Amino acid sequence: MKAVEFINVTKTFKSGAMGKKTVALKNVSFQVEDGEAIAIMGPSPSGKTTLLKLTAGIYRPDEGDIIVYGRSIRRDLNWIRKNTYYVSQNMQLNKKLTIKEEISYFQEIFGNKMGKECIRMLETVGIYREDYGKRIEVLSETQITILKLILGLIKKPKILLMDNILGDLEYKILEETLEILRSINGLTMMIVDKNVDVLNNLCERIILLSNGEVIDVGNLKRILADYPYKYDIEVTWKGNIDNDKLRSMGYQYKVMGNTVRFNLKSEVEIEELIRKLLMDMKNIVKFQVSGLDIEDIYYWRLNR
Amino acid sequence: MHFKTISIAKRYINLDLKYKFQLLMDSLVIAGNFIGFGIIGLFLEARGNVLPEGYTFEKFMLTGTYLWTMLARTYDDCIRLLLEEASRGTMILMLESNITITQMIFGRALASTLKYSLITSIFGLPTLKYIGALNVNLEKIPILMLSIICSWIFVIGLSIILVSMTLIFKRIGMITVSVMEITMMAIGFYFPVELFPKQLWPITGVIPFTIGMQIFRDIMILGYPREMVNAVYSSLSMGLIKMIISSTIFITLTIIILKYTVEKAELWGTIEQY
Repeated sequence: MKAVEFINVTKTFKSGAMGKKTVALKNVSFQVEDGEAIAIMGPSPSGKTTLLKLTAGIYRPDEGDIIVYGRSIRRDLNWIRKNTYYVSQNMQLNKKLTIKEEISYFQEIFGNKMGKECIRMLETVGIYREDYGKRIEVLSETQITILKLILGLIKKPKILLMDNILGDLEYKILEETLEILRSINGLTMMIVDKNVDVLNNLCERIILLSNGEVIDVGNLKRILADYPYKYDIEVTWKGNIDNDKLRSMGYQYKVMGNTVRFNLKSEVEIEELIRKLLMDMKNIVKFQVSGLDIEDIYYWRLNR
Repeated sequence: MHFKTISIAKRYINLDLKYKFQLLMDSLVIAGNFIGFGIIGLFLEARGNVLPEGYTFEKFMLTGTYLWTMLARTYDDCIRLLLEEASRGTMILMLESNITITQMIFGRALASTLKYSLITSIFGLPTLKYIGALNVNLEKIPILMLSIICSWIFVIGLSIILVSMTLIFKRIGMITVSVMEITMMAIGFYFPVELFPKQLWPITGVIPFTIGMQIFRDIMILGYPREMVNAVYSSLSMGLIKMIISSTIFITLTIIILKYTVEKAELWGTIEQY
């Protein structure tokens, strides 16, 4: 069964009664299978968040239709809202309330008890039953992120829509969270995230967006396997960057202010780069190995 | 009342209790209202002998202040609701908990009414007792409650209209204050409605809050509602019917307007932006 079907969906934004219109999505069509986890990729702004919010019923489409488990957003908006949960980094909790008050409110509204997976997820970030009386304002960002996620799981949604929520989690917490999410039976997920590990761990397929249009729906694992660069190294220089010197190094790179991100294919290339950089050691402020950048992969795929 | 509205009211009460300084300031402002209007009532008098015997202007002002403060503060909280949720960044959280804007407003209204009823009563009841304006006859309590409920519905209706305007225009500026000022005049908060020009009586007399305020004042000061009040109602039963019907029509219309504006905001994609 199809969990989500976008049929020629167009969405424009209008800033108030007298505001001008901006097109966010143009004639978008795609399908998501029941229980599937699908990634949505594209540069900002390309309509990723709009696509998720439309699926959650927060926005209404201007044209076309969105079918969620056979129900049209135009006729069954309330049912769709009840069965989806949109969670984003920008969504805030009431910091003055306690964990217990926030959980109780959601349990009361949804008429559901918090499941074992939620308790386990809270424990992965060090929130145990005796901590439920703590105010949200004293929690760390990681703990708040997990709390936002479990509030949604209390809703027992059929579709979980995650908008850049997991990418900043520490590796160990991320691994456990992903494992718990994967273990929830029949949960369909649509994910926007800058962290390639999150997408690679959860998703099979990927929707590529550009300027509000779907340009491709592909297999994420295959794209990542074909992507020639396996390592990203970020180097920050003191003062101005010498572009001629960078070009002469012979690697794929991207300049962001004083920082340069090199895309490297192998460990041999890392060794070579380090050797070359050692000659300019006194001008280097920072050197770090970073995760693969989702936008680099996107543009590489686009150019192909 | 829907259980979700009760849940959200509980949530707002929980939240309000966390902001203790704000509660203290609200209490001081309410105490200030009683002092200010008490002074006005003490030194001024209504023209034309329209108030019955025993109905001093001081009693008139302070009983009005009691009901007005309870409801006007609730109005303030309701119209600030969307802006507050948006500035806290919790708008999406509320929408994702399957709460409609109407439920949010009613939840907020219930929580605020409870909060301000308590604070207002702490200052108001001893003040009214002291000036001899606490003469409620137990038999009249159902009518008293009805007048409070209909006035409450009217005030919530007003806030719903302003929330609807916020949904469409985002920032509506001083209009919220102007609406309150006009309402205060129209319902006869500052002076008896009989002092208005006769041509305005049909308009002021149809506002449920005018009737509610009149009945409330009468029961508090005289112990019973008068059978006939010029400019408000020609008979008490007619007044009660007018009050119930007009408040029901008003709230229904405002909810329809709100539903329409919410749909517009969802279509424009601006439901969470203020």
